[in-house]
Amino acid sequence: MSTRRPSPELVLRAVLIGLGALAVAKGAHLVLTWLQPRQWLNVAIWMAVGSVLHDLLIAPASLLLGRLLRIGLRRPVAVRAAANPLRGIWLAAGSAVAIGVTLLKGAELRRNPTVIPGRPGLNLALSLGLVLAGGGLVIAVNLFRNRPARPPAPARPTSPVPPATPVPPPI
Amino acid sequence: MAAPVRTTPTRSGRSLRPPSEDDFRSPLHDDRVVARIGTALGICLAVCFLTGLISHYQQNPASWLPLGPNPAWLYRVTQGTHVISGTAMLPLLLAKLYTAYPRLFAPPVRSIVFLLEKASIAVLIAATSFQIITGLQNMAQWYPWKFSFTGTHYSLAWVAIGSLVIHIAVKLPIIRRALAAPLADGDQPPARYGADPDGRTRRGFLYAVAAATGGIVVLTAGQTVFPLRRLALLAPRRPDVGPQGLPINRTAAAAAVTAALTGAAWRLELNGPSGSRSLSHDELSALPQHRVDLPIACVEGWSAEASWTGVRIKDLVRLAGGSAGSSVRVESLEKEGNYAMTMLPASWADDGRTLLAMRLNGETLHLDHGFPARIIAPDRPGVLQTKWVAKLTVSGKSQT
Repeated sequence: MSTRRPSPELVLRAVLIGLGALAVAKGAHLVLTWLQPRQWLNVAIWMAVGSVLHDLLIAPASLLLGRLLRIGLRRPVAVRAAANPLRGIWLAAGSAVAIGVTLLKGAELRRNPTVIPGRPGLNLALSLGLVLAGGGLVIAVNLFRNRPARPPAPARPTSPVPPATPVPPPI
Repeated sequence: MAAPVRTTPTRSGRSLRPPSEDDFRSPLHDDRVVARIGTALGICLAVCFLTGLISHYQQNPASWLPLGPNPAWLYRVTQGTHVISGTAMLPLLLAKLYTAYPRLFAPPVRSIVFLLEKASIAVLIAATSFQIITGLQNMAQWYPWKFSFTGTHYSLAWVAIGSLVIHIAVKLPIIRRALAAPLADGDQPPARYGADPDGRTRRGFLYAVAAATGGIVVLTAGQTVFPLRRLALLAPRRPDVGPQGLPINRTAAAAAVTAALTGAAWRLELNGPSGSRSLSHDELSALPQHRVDLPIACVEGWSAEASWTGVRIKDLVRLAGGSAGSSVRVESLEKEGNYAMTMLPASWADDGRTLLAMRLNGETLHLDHGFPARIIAPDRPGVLQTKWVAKLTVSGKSQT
């Protein structure tokens, strides 16, 4: 009876799944032993925050913006030039806002003046300005590159040929 | 940001329904894009995990991992990298979740393997987003939760890396195929999602994600990458802002260390095999002074180079009757706090750059920097550079 040996890739995948499961088990064990049971629910809530925010708010908002963008930018050339830079702006601005709002809250609670020095609100505004300026520049460059070729100029009328002067018949 | 979802009723009166995977038409949801962003995210998570482990074992030494004082800049680099890669994960995770979003609407349980795969992804996303969100909040010293950050961060790091490894193993054939395939469809449109014949949409999106991630890194990395400090608009610290040009984490007031405790009556209690003695600030100043340029690197990711002057710990070890191989127990005037007492292993105590520092950048230590004396050692987390030192206890026998 011949037995088929598992492929190296299958073995690798099985080993990886085993190692991954061990690591997850170690982490879960640490959570269960280091934290008090009354803290578990709080940890679970904070673990769910990211997924809930993304799936119910960020992703639908992104899809809606994409839809509005397609309606607003009717010309395919404009969509091609602006779509990806706008995605980049949306992504960078969203990340900047997430960090900036965290810093604003941290500044409210700051324990000493070296924590979040300066003006985090102004810094967030400047960051968003930089993101918009950078993205806007890319859109401008894309639009310039993709500008439609000028239609060939209409053929200029050539100077009218003067009517041939009737040559008097030889006498 | 381009995939339309049909969720509105049609004119024929069809009712609202949840979207299905087939409603998404953007070529950005293709496996080729998901796999490329996932690779970048996976690399960042792995780097974050490994550098985080180094920080963990610096604070909780393990016999099987001998960490030492060389090179002096190592912790600065590893912890700076930890925070930079963790911050880079924010836009990468958002991009990854967006591109993979249609899979959320895949039909429910098809098989046990499918269920396990979905469960591992849910755990991966939950643990990774937890690490990023609470990590950012920790950098800003904002703690709106009811658990210990350090222990939970360490525990869930294992969950995150473990579920990442499982995810890679489960998806390996798809990942390999997707990474090997060109971004352009050519004249063969994909079976699902939209076509991108020349690959410009997918390639452009990947460039946009790279630019957004790079931009966020540039706006935050200045707290440890000194040349970028003026661009550090979104960094919680500036490496040159603070008393004597250096940030502080825990003030004397927060540690309940008062001027009365650190005044003329302050004495360093030095215990060791040859007995106990007390040294005043003047007596310590009369001992041979050494100056070292060492970085101070905080677990929160900021770091800065400074010039420190003080007495070598190895000289104090000899004074207390210790020898090479002696470790030193360091106690602070601070009575409460996780780091009021720290251990200085022999490899650091023996190093000539490890000082009981009394001066910083040519001036007497500021009270918030640990006046009258603090530890400064190469390649050590800032929390272990004990401030307001009150007592040193030198071990008699060789320990590493």
